[in-house]
Amino acid sequence: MTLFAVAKKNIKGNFKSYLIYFISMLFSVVIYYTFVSLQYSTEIAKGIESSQAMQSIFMVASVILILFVSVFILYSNNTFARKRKKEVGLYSLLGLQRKTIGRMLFYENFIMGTVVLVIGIAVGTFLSRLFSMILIRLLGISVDVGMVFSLKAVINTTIVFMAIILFTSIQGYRLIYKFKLIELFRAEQVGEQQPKTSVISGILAVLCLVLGYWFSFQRFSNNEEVLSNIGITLVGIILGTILLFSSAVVLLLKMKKRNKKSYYNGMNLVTTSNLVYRIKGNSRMLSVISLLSAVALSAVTVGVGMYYGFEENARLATPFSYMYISQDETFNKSVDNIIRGDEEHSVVAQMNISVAKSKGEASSSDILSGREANADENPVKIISVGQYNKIANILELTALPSIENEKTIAIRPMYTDYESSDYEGETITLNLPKEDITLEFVGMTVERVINWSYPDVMIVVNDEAYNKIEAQSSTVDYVGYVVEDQKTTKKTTDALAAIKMPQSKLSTFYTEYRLGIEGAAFNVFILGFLGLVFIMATGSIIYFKQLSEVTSDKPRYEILSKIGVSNRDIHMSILKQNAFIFGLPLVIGVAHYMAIINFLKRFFSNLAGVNLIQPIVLCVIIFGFIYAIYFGVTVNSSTKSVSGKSIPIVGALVTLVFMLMIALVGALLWTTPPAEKEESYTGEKVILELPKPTGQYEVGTTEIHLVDDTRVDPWVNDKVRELMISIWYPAQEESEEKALYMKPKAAKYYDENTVTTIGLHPGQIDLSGTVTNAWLNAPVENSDKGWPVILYSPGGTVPRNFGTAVVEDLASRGYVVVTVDHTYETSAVEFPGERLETGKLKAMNAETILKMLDVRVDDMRYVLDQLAEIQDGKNPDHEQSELPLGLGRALNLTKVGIFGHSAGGATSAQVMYEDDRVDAGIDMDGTMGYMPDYPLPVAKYGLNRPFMLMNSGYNKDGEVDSHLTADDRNSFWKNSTGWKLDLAIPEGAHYTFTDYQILFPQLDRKLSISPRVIQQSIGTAESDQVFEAQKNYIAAFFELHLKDIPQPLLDSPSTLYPEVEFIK
Amino acid sequence: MKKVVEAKEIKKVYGLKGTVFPVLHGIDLTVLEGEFAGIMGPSGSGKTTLLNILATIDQPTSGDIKIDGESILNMNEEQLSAFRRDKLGFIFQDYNLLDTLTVKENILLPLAIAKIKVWELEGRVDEIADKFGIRPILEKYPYQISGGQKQRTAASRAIISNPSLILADEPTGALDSKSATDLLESLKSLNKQDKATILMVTHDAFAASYCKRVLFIKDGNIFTELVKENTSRKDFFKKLLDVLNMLGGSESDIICCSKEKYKREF
Ligand SMILES: Nc1ncnc2c1ncn2[C@@H]1O[C@H](COP(=O)(O)OP(=O)(O)OP(=O)(O)O)[C@@H](O)[C@H]1O
Ligand SMILES: [Mg+2]
Repeated sequence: MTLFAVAKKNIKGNFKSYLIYFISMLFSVVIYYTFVSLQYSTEIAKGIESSQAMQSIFMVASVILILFVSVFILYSNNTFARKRKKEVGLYSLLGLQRKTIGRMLFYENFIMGTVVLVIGIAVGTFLSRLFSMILIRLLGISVDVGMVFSLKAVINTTIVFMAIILFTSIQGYRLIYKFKLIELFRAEQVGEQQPKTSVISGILAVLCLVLGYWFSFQRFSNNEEVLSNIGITLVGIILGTILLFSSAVVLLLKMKKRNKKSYYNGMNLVTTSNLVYRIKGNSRMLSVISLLSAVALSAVTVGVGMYYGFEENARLATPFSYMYISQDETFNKSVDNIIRGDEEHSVVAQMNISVAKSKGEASSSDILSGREANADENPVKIISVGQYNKIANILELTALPSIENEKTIAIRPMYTDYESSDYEGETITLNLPKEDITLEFVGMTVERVINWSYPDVMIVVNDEAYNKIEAQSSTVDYVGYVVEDQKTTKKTTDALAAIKMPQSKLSTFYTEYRLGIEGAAFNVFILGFLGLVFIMATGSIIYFKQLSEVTSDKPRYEILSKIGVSNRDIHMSILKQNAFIFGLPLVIGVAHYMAIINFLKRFFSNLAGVNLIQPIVLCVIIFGFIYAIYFGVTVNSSTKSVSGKSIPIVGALVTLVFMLMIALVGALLWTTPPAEKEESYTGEKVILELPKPTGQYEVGTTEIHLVDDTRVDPWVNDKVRELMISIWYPAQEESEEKALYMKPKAAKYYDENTVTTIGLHPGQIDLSGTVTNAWLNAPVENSDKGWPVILYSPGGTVPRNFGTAVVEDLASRGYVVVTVDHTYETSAVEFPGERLETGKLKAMNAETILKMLDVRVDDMRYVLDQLAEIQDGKNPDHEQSELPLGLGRALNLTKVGIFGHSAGGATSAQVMYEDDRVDAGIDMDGTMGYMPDYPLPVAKYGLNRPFMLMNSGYNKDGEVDSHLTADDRNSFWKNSTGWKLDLAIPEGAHYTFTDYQILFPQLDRKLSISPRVIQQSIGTAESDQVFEAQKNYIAAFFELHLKDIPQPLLDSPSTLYPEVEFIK
Repeated sequence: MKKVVEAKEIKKVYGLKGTVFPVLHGIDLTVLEGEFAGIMGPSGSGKTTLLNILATIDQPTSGDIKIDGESILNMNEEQLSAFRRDKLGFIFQDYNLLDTLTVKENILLPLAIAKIKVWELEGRVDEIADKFGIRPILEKYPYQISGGQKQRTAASRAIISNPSLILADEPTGALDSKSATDLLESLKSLNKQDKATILMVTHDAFAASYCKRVLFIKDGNIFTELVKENTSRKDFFKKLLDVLNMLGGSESDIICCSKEKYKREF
């Protein structure tokens, strides 16, 4: 008989003890394969709009999974190996050479591994179908998923597990060399030593836990604190748990032992002493289980919480399926026709709601901030309680109680976590034409009855007060519709968007709901999946451990039976021991979880304001269910192995709970509304239009592909740095064609990946058909001294194209503007030959951001070098495409400016700090460094040449963002000795300084975009006005500093542009 | 007199992978209340097997056993374990101590299971530990004590609950003569004062001489039976030796030793 045959025979003979190990391996393979095949599933990728994001989420998750799976396999392998020590000892006693035995063990392991792999992949194929169905349900898309069998996934799984199997096989081989013969024999005999415990470490355990918990409840205000808090929390909890199980629990058991009355009572003696006997070996496992359970629960809760919070937010932001402000008869009629024409979503209710609007002052700026007061002439919306309750009735919300005179109830603003107590003692005064009415807050309600719009200050008053207010203020009449199945009203939403008027503020539930559903669905899916794997694995670990213990406990139970202990009592004892082993980590895990979730709730912004009680209860119940199943199965298998019989009721309960779980999953799967058929967008594509440049010259443009042989690319490392730049210049005459806004490949990428992040669908915008105002490769207009040169650096991950409007305008005024994409940081850059290079940045931490800024500065300075080459008559373009006629001559490199948005703004400042060739610059809403700890040198030491700051919006504390409120720019300002100016556009937002400022309103006019997206991107100020302002201030700055033309606009605030503030 | 145990036509066959291996060939045995009976026989003759069957720990292949007049065939697991718990004390040949418990805990286990009050239970343990001289090792674990100490612990556990039927499988096998005599004396007093019924397996003629009746088993059958009646223990001992000699040489070494013991003891 060959060794191989012996090995095979051994597996058969040892089948029972192998089974446990086998199953744990199988479990790992199935889970991993399922996961990987989902990752490679083309069906899902097709159905998903941001497939790029999905891939990377899956990537991270599979790395976590693989780490976990390896640990899990190693653990079960170790348990298994210990069981087999004796067998190995016997072989060597029989005179088999160690080498031979080792080889035999190796073969055994290997055969089993292969079998497991094959079965695992087969089972995984079925399971992955189930899981993709769940994912698709969550996403609310409709794709037909067949059986998922992907060769890629098979190969991936095979490689990973072959590596693990090889590793464990080698370990098996080494096993026999590691032990002495006598040890091999005694392996199962040596009693597990009674653990020694000290009261001190018990107390220490409790202290650690208290410390960890306490820090998880502390507030944090900056990144430092987040890190230190989470660090202390984690260390406290982990250390506390380990100490708890190695000492406190033993102490507890020993105390129990000391209580003779209960200890000497029946089987308690056996149960407790067995637990004490095992606790040392178990303490490590129990700590790990507790921690894993806490992690698993937290992961699932965060996922579910985000999904739940996202749905909840959509419902709160848009309580009505459709809502608009009543306009003229024809408009109202056509809206009504469209909504009622949709037969699939019949109208459940239609309501006219009148809301009074007024100026006001609140006793606290949290209730009505200056910003909100600025955003609308009449920022306070007032609704009568009668009206509110009528709506509440229709929307099935809780009604409000009656309100006394001079009292009011607040409606909680969206995205806050205000509570009733925050309003206590506060007042609001309505400044009406005839009188001021002061109202005292007596409460707050979370339920909103009007679709969200900014400013979001709403109060409810009694009907009498309302009538008084209405009589002397402007009212707005809202029309709201509730329809059936509002999650799938895509067509109607699109149709309504097509006819909407800006002042109608038409908003739909569908738009709000679809916004971010993918992110939420992925979070819940991946986190849920990982959580489930963790839970199942922890359950399995306990199961294996308990089962292997009960095998060695069997003789003890036989003795007990011999001296007259009934099977029932033995079963009860086994049940109690298992209850302890399962229950303890469950209780402690749940306690940890509460602390962790408390921390995470404040850490993840998507969880802010979400009521997590429901998700938490749901998660704990599901977790409890799964645990109960494992508990039952373990007890059942243990009793069966001891007495050949199982406790009938436990078996029945397990079956029941299992059925319940299946039913629950089934119900969840089938009750969510069936996904709508996702038809690709057939409506008219929105064509974007850039504003006409205002300068006197036509604009020309060309693209240049630069290859910097002297620099290894810092992001990918295996090639030299390549850049794409565009040069925009005053053109002598028109050329044959206008340049495209974006090259086709890049346009496709942004259509598929970026557009979805604002809640739109690919294909709705004609990105590739959008043209600029610039003539491609037109000859350059002559100028005696050449045109001043301005460099433009876009924001982090933003392509250079999104700065085109301002850039073209500058060029038309007589500048050569050079825009630069920072390859591998920018989401996607298209190079010649339709080569698309996508972003390679991982986590946005301090290190990445500082490196990013470093690379950008190098890029910009290199570009400046290349411009000098062009001036010298050379052509740096890698493909040697012909440069526009007269480009070299047209460059005046003694007058160089630089500007940029966000990270590009910080880049501009830092380039000026490092490079004397640049004379003047603008930072548009860019933080100079990674604050608070890593300001850029330029922020620390300032500049001695002209620089302008342009900021938008408000900071967290409601202050206008400027050098007065931002540390980095504050330090920059103080240390700068040159000409300087700080302009703020408080009602703008971060993307005000990009083409979004003009393009978003164009989209909003024709498509349904969530008002929140627009507000968050470009703010609330009148958009064309804001664009005009920024364009003219930028131009004025460069006219002054690069052309020496005086600019009164820069001297003091202008009545032309009231939205721009001068910050002194 | 009442029949405590009545075994009829007990047959036991061990089946080992196809080959059947008969151990007991149809044994009839009756133990009366208050009896102190012994069983002797060569190693491997089926003594332990018989005792296990009488204790309901093992099942006979055929035949019936009546305990207190009731057939165990009609009893369920619950009743059987109740019998073992409440009526039976078994001193096992291989001790069967629980290694997770201390000596003390091992001894008091039957009382704990019977839910005896703590104060009563601890007093009983001390008393019995004194009797068997194991007081100093009460807090030790089985793997920390010697074979003889283990045997005394096992005996203590078997008799602590004053069982009405004591089955002892070689209770003196690992004991020195002093300890053996102590144990036998306590069995004797249990039999006399507490009217306990005792059935003891032994290879030792000296130990067997404490019995009132001794059965000899050979090759799975009852070979013969000796009754002490009114003979002195010394004479009964001699008679036992005679029978053992008759049974065959395999026991000679033990008998030889027993002789020496006898010389010392009597
Ligand atoms: N579980 C078993 N399976 C198979 N054969 C067994 C089993 N138990 C005992 N035997 C066999 O039955 C026979 C009787 O065994 P038993 O233990 O009853 O002998 P014994 O008379 O008590 O011997 P000793 O004096 O050595 O204790 C022996 O030959 C033994 O090998
Ligand atoms: Mg025996």
